[in-house]
Amino acid sequence: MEGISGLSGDVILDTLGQIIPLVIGVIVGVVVLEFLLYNLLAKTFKLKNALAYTLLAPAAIAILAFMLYPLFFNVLLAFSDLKRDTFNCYSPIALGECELDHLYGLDYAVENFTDVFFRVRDGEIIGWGRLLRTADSTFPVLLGRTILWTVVNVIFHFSGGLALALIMNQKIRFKGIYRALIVIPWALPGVITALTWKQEFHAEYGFVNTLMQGIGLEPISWLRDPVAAFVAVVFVNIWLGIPFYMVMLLGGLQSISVEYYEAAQMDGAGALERFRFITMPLLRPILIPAVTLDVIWTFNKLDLIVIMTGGGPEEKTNILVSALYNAAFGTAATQQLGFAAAFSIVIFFILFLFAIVWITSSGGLKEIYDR
Amino acid sequence: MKYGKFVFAVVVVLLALGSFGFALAQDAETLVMWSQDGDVNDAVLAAQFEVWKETTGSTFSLEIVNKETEVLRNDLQTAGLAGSGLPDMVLGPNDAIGVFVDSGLLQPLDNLFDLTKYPINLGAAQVAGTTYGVPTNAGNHLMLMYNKSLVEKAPDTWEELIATAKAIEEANPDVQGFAYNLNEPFWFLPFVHGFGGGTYDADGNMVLDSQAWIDAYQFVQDLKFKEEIVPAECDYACADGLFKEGSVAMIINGDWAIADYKNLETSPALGPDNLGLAPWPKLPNGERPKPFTAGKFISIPVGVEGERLDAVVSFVTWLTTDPAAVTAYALGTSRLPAIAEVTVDPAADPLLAASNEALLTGVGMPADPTLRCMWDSVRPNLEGVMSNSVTPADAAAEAQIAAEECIEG
Repeated sequence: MEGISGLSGDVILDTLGQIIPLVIGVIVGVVVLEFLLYNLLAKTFKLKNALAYTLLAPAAIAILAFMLYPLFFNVLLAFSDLKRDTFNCYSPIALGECELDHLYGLDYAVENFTDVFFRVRDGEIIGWGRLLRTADSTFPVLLGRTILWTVVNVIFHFSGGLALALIMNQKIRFKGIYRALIVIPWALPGVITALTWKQEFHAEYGFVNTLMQGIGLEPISWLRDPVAAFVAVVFVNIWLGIPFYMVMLLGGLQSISVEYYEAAQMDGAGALERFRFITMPLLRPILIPAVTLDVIWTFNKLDLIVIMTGGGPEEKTNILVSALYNAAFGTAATQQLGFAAAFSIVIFFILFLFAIVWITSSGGLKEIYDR
Repeated sequence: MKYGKFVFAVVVVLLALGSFGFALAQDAETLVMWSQDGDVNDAVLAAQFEVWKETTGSTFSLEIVNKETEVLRNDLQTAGLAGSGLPDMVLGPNDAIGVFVDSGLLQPLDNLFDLTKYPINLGAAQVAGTTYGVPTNAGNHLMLMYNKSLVEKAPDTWEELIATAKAIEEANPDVQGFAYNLNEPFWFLPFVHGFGGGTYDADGNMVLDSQAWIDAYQFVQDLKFKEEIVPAECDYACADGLFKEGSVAMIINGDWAIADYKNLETSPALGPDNLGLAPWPKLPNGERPKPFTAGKFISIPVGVEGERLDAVVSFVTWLTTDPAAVTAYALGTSRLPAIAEVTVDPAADPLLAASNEALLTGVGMPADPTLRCMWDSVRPNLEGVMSNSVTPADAAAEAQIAAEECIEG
């Protein structure tokens, strides 16, 4: 809404004046602590691998602080009744009398996890629970849309990426330039990409409708019609995801020895047979982890949807994670953080189960483990 | 060389401590305000702080951090949960106050300020009889804004507005006649009020499915699909941006934007000469849509105490009650004062006088925390009406169900 008119030289200098001392302090602090830690490990405890432990320490502390602690805190929240009305019970500084007799408990967890799926009144289930404000924002509807979103994206990512990788694996001129151009969507920050595409899909002033009108088609209200908006976000995410596959698969293709192809050709195998019986099997060790990662990333793709549509219109472009974000922090937020934490754990287990089943059944990591 | 390592270690430790100390020393003397106001208005406030500082000889400085409404709400609650990082002041509209009070994050102000000084709109910042915000201005109301180089006289009815918009588009193919933030409930509620509806009934129950709501949904849907006088899609940034560059002749926007539109640097097509303000045009029933009115309020979060609290109270009291300071802030932001001693002089600022005229058509916005359930329940249904995928009656019924579920929690 507001521009960056306030970004004057004084503001920049003032900001740098605050950031630079902090950064210097952190760097110097880390160096000093590393120095002390190394001396402690090597001289006091006389550990053989003191240097290795010292160098690993910052990463280990960062993982503990920024991954394990939040994960633990999220589980703890799922066992709480933290919402707007009870906020003062959990805040160390908020005013007001706390009316809860306990802060954490299994009873809260049962209620939070039940609320993700069902609407309960007087101890009886009366229907699917609304995760947001419309009747469509129930768990099965959102899960169905998330699966559709994931499947369509992954299929197009894979086929588009494979096609481009096969082309890039040929002897063509200016290959480096093409490769750099194709990787750009992947290299750009997601926020910039999403904001750019949001403007391009604007019904009045966007490039997409201008192009459509140029070839005689009727303009579409891309971001105001629920189906069109979903198509728009799927399209952008496909565009974003193809370079990842292209890079991975191109690496895989280049590692396949040409001798296989020459031998097959001598045996009379056609292009399609060479692709089916040589290329695909040998790409498998790369493909399975790539698909696994892509499914997880796509399933959890939050920024694009939140920026482009905010989950709307009518909450109909939400997938599970964007619904979770909106329930916890978005415009329809009801500040039910205990419920939101339970919701996030449900999403985590869906992906965890998928990863186990997919990796086990596909045998994609077999060759890596066997080495 | 024997002491080389030791000296080096001491130097780096001193450097580190010095750096942290420098960063912390800056914070100790800085009052932080989280503001939901725009950059232009924040600049006026910052200038006023310097005047106060000079007058009182205070050693504090002010850092204004601009935050969008939802971001401010989330950040304040996150800081409240962590127990640190709360600002010294929060400047925003009154409808967030109820939510913050529910969360226990605001200090009661009854014993800190002389509240008799604010007779106009203080009630909008009171929850259960306790005051949690001091008004910097009265208003925060939506009104019709037009570009005088394209519109000779402000339309007095929607019929006139539609005719004017169509005539402008015919004469200027590159100019949109009329635009507003189509899917945002704050822009929709005035229509509901104009058709005789409201958010609560006489018993305080939320009612979002009355005939007035259905009529209002129908009216805005017709503006888009029958009269075709609004863009296919338009949010705040769209209407605001197009208006500033002269690509739309009339918009609906709030008093917070006036200072920006008067500024030729940020609004090259407008400026004080081309910007026109007027009350909302009359509906077919003869009533004007009634915008929510309240103002912007400064609240003080919990945890602010001692010298910092004294400085905050001193500054806010001066800003909102000293006649010269109130006048300067009102003229600088082109918004209406919230104290009785300072009145609007139409000769001093005709735009301020026009804004005052529009303000008188509004209805007060309550600080009730359940109001949030209304905004959140209406938004997706309004989107459905504006994409023609939901009928006005269904939208009203669905919004009522969603609001009831929201209130039940």
